[in-house]
Amino acid sequence: METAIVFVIGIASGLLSGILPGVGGLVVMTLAFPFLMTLDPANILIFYVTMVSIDQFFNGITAIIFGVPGNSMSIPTMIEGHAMFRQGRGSSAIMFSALGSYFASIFGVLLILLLLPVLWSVYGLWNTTVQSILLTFAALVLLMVSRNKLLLNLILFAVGSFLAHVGFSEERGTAFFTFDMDILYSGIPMLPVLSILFVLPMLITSYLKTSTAFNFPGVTFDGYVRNIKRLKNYFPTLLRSSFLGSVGGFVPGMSYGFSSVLAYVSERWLRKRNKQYKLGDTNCLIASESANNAGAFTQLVPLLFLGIPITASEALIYHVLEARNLPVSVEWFSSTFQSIVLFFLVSASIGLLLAAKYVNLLKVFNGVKISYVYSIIMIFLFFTIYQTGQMYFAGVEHLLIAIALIPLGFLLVKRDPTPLVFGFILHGPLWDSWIRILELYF
Amino acid sequence: MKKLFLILLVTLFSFNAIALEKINVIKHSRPGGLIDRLNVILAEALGERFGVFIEVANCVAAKKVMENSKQPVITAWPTERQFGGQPCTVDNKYFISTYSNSPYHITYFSSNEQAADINHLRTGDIKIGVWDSAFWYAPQKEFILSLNPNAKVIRYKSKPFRTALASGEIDYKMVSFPGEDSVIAIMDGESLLPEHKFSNMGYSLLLFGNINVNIESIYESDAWANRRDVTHQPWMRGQFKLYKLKEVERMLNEIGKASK
Repeated sequence: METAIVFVIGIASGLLSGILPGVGGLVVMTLAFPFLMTLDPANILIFYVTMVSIDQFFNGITAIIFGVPGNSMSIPTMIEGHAMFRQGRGSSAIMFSALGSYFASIFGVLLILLLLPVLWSVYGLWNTTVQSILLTFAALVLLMVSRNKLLLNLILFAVGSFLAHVGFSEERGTAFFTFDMDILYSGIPMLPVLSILFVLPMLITSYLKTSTAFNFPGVTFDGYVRNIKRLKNYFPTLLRSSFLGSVGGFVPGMSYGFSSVLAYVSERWLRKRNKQYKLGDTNCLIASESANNAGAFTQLVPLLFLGIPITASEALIYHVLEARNLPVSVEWFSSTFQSIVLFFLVSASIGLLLAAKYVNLLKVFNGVKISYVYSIIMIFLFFTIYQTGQMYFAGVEHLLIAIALIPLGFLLVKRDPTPLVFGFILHGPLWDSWIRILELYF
Repeated sequence: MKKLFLILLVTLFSFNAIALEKINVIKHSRPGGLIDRLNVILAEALGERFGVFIEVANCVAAKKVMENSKQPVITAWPTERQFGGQPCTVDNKYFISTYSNSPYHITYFSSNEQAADINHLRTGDIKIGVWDSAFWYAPQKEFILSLNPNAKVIRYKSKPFRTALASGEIDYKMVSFPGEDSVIAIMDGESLLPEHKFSNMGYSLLLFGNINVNIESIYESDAWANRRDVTHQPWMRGQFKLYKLKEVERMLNEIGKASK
């Protein structure tokens, strides 16, 4: 009975973290902390895999239809998916995103099953060199494949890195461009940067291009069947990105959020090289979404096999398990593996169905002028920025930061802001890995 | 008689008010990490008196809450934050007590047989991972190089630090709580270079807040007894507050000199 309740709550939590921008899995898990402390340890893992699995499906939908990335890992989905939506291919984008996610979930599970006998050798993947190579590769490819000129991409990447660096670093004991202002000591939060420097320019560009009404035909069961048949055309992309996603899940400091970026930039690079890439590319959309989902499961491996949590959410799970006097071990995981896999796959299936139901509800916006919809999105984003800031007693501060970024957002209209946002996201792990490489080998 | 009744009534209400006064706990660090776990212990040890967790993004925000909250708040506070007037340094009027302290442990990955040999630690071409901290890095490095001049000291942030031993890119790790890893030496002032000024070095936390809490009630709680971080022990238990403050200041100055 407890398992059933946990499963339902896991689904609801996944919906919450997937649909609402800024509300990530960690926030939901922190809210659910007292509840988790009362659960049977196996059910804690079931809650986690269910939440992560459902979250993946819904994160993509908000990004595709409204152009609002729920978090940094949905940015690639937003770039291609929302472009597809504007081109009248919203239904395809939703279905391919969901089907790709589903395929990748199964891929992730199968990969772990296959690797079980040799999983110990996966240790080799968890080193700084691999991390550094992958991060550098992603950054370089990103600079090359963005729509702007290379110099502008470099400048935008540097601006993103600069913004990420602002604040007081407790590790280094130094403040960077804080001007002794309390508001800047905590650094510039992710949501205002994403909203103002990514979503705002994109919405303004879209608004200037299209003055039509919001039009979303929704998805149908037939549509799913048709797209399943078409999915075989994307098989190499699915395999490539699911593999990259799975590997990203294993590597600490990267996790499946980075896998999504890595799979996306690799696919975009390949498509550009073959002169097949155009904004609103189905292959690129499938790549980012499937990498996300494959990594969502494989990231459990370091935690469950070695007791090494590689994301903050996992650290929380680990803490709960420890507090319940359950040392995480291979033996324990082996005994719970089957049921966890089962719940992961069942929740992935439910995610697939619920996602279809949910997107059809969004047809209520049909006929509404696109400018109104975009205005609503912006108001909603400002509200979300305030609300997520308020969680840390800093709602007004976050709003002020967002407002201060608006002029920069306007400068990015009709330009590709991707390098700036990725400069912001990748700055920390990239620099950190380079410095460590120097310390390790020189 | 009426007056007496009124006094009784007011007294009764006052006692109730005090009894109902809840204490909130500020969480200001990565969920599931050491500081977070020690904050959860505080909350659990408070029992009925625990109010809510106030979750903030970092130490600057935590300081702000401590200084402005009208409700009683407490939190576990890393000692090094009190060094040198940083943005996170809190006025000593919020100091309640010293909380926990654990000597640094030098650990290795269980299956690394070479690292299990203490001579390898003392003389081998080794790499030791330490937490990336402006305050602790310098004394840790100084000690490690005194122990083994061939050693390389590598700074790590949270996520890669967790898997650094398993990946084989470093031989040892210096941590206050060893977890599942094997321990080769403890920096307790005796095991390694007893004459070295940093041979007795550990990670400690203070208890800060805007209300006075008896630290003994925390140590006597089940939450403390069942804590995961067993290497963290009560710090300067039974000493006067002034003595504790002076000792903290002395320790900070000693380590801080190396950091500067």
